[in-house]
Amino acid sequence: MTTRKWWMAAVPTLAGLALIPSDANSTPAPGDPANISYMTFSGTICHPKNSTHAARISYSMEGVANDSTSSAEVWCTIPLNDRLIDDKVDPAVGLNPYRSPPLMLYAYAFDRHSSQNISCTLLEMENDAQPFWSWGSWRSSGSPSSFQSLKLSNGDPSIEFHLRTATSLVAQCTIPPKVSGSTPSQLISFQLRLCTTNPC
Amino acid sequence: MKRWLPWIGGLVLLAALGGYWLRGRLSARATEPKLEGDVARLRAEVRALRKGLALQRPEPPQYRLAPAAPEAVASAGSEEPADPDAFRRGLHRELIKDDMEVALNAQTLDERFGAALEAQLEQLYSHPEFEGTRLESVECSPTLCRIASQHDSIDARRSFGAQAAQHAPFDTEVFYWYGQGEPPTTTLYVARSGESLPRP
Repeated sequence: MTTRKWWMAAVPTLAGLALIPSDANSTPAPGDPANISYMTFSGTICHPKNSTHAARISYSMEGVANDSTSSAEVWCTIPLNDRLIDDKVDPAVGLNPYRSPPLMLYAYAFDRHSSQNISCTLLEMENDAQPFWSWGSWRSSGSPSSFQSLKLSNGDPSIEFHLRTATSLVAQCTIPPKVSGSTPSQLISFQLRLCTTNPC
Repeated sequence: MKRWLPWIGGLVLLAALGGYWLRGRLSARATEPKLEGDVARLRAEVRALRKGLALQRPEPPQYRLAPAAPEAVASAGSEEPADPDAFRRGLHRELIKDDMEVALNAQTLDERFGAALEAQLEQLYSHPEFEGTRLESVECSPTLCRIASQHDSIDARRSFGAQAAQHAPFDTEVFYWYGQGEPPTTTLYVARSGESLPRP
């Protein structure tokens, strides 16, 4: 006769537990804001650097354009979503010091100048409006007829950035002058992406 | 009579076994309070050891490091910072600056590169947009540089911070550190081209 030991009952129980997915309770449902992995903003969020540059730019549904024969500088405040930034603290660092998960910022643009490029620098600002961290720079290249995607930084697809304060994010961009007989160069939109893969 | 002898022997044996079993039970019960006492004493000892270790540890950084923001200074006689959030941000900056210094000092200084950069910066600071800012020192390792500047006023410092990232060599990854004393100062930790700043 086979004697049943108490631990024999534990074996199938433990095996059953091992089959339950570990993230069964942490997977957000479709439509849950926790699923947000990118945000897109129109180039119309950009403001001229000062009154001199204000006279050079125009806005449309295609974003912000430089209609003048001089370079135009614009500052674009990138809205931060608390679901994308605050609620997903990098577990490797914890809350203090704060570091956001890896992010990428893309700028979509039309660069219609043959020699000058659209370039942007990204600044993370403190509450007192002084820069805390900055990254540069994105540059378009050439003057193709289709739009371009400018990506931080220097075209290396593996480079991402982390926010340390999550207060505000500003892109300083320079749009080259309009070439006679051509449509103006313009910044169409920005896209802030949460890196879900490594590399981004 | 002889028929009963095995039965009597059996009963005696059973009584002996029963007595032995009963003695063991009673003895076990008698040792239980002793064991409980030992466990309690051991727990108290572990607690005392842990407390002793905690007392030997250096104070946590949030109490060791001075807050960078003046508004974060704790009121007299109070252990809690007046503005915990500003205190946390100040601590955060301190920790990042410490990381930068460690990274800078862990490598051999690149004096040749530093001297060339100093000459480049002297020229950059002579531009009208950097008016009111003077170069104090430049120190470079193979991956990053520490560039210290002094400003005539807080406004000059704000103007410098807003402009710097658009110019080489600040068009890489930069961490901004603002001195609290007078005159206003800014120390920039600048990643050399193709490099990133240290990450926690």
